[in-house]
Amino acid sequence: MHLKHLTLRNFKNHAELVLDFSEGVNCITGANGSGKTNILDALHFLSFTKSFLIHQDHQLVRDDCDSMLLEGIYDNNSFEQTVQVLLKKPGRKTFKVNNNAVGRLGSHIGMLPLVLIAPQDIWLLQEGSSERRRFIDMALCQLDKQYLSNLNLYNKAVEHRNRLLKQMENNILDTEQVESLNKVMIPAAEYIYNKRTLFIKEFVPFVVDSYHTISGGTEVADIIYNSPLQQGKLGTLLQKSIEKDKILQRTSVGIHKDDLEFSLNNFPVKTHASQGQQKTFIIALKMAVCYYIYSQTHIYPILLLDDIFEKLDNSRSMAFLQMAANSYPGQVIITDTHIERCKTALEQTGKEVNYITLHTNA
Amino acid sequence: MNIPSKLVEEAVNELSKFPGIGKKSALRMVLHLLKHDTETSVKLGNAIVNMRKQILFCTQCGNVSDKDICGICSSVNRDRDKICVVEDLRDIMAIESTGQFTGLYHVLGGVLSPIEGIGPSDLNIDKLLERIKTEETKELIMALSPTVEGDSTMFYLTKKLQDSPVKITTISRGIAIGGSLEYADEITLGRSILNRIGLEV
Repeated sequence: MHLKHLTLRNFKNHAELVLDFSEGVNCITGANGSGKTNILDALHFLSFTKSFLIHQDHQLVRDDCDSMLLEGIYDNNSFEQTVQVLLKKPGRKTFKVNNNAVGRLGSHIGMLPLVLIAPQDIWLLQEGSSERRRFIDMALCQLDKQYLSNLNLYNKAVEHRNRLLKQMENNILDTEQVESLNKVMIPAAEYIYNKRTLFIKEFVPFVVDSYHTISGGTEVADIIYNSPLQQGKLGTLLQKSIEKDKILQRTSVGIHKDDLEFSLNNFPVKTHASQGQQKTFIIALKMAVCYYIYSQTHIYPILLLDDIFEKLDNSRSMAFLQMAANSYPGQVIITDTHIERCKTALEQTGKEVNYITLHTNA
Repeated sequence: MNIPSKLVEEAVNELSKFPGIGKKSALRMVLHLLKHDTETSVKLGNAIVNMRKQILFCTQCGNVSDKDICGICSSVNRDRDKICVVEDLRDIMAIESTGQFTGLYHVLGGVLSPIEGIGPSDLNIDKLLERIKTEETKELIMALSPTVEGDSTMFYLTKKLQDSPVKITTISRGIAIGGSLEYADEITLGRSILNRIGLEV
């Protein structure tokens, strides 16, 4: 599967932009502020129905405009597939696939598998556990519709439950209401827990492989999945922690507390790895997602590489670019500020590269 | 929107308070009334005022009614041992139009939603518990939406009734009749394949 044409209208800084892509390696270059990352964000939007940078959709509309349009024409097993998003301000976004409106946006996620490697990925190591849960969720949501639906259900129920814990009057909690919400949470949580457990088990070998290939070294990468549900059934755990929850005024146990531990040779990446090793680890994780998705769906996700030279030193990023261009069978879309640097790196691979140059908006 | 008449503006403001009606639709409705004679507007106004002033809610099930007890609750042809619990009046109308249910109803007036501040005391729950104690109810059928709020309300009621001999059931969830499997949404199809039904010849 690959992207053939992309049209942006009033999306962020782009008033009107039409681009053609090739099946293999594409390289978007332009000065800072020319909107390279915004093109990747548009592709992210077409795949995940949301931006990876901005949470409020209406902020995606170009200043002083009242609607935006994104249209991607994809080649899916040599069938042409047109995916269109229209967002009007104020109003909701509408998705159309081949001119048919998509009813439930959740059902669209996974149709156009995509993996993005961006400078922000360093949050995976440096920020709190929610970033790491988002990482698993982004991978699993593309593969399993029930996963997303269970996750939404669970999150909503936790929100209700926390509200009850906050609203407690005179220290009296409506336990019956809390227990009713527990009943809704439990099956959803078990589903997600089982999926995450299985995913990490199957996923780690891909990470080991990817890390090995990218670093060329002998270090062994590993991921450990930690979940409160490893201590017992959620029903029992919720019961045990109810007094604590009352004091904290929020739900202290559940899959919303899950976390991942990343390690190299059994040492935590966050504290023991160098900057370069950390970045390599993240790239390995993301590449592993690509190969994992392929192993499950036989489709290579579109791989987006945003500003890959940002954190890696020149030689490492050259090596990685060449590896991605040479060995990744799916479509690759790269952004960089320096066309020369990209050209030098990619010319050595002997692969045909489609260069797209953006000019700063006048 | 600049409206040249204060009277028209006021009518537009009032009409645009309806769900799904914006300023533009409201203006269209007002212009429609202006095109017709005064009588049309008076009729409409009276119908609304009379409806709101005289409408009653059935003291048993909470359904809207012209009398103290609604047509369903007072009918001799209904099975009095079954009560179907619904969120609002629209659900009764939907189930009634199937012609498949001959029991009684109970309108909750909403579902539990702590986020919106809707608790058990905001719903018609106490009356339901009382009915089950005093009436000849054998089965309670939960016909609530399959959402977090609907499901937790269902569990809440079940919990409240755990010591009562009443049988509690829920409407089944699954594939729409007459639809083709390939077009069913994946969540529904996934649930349906997990909750299978035995087949007999």
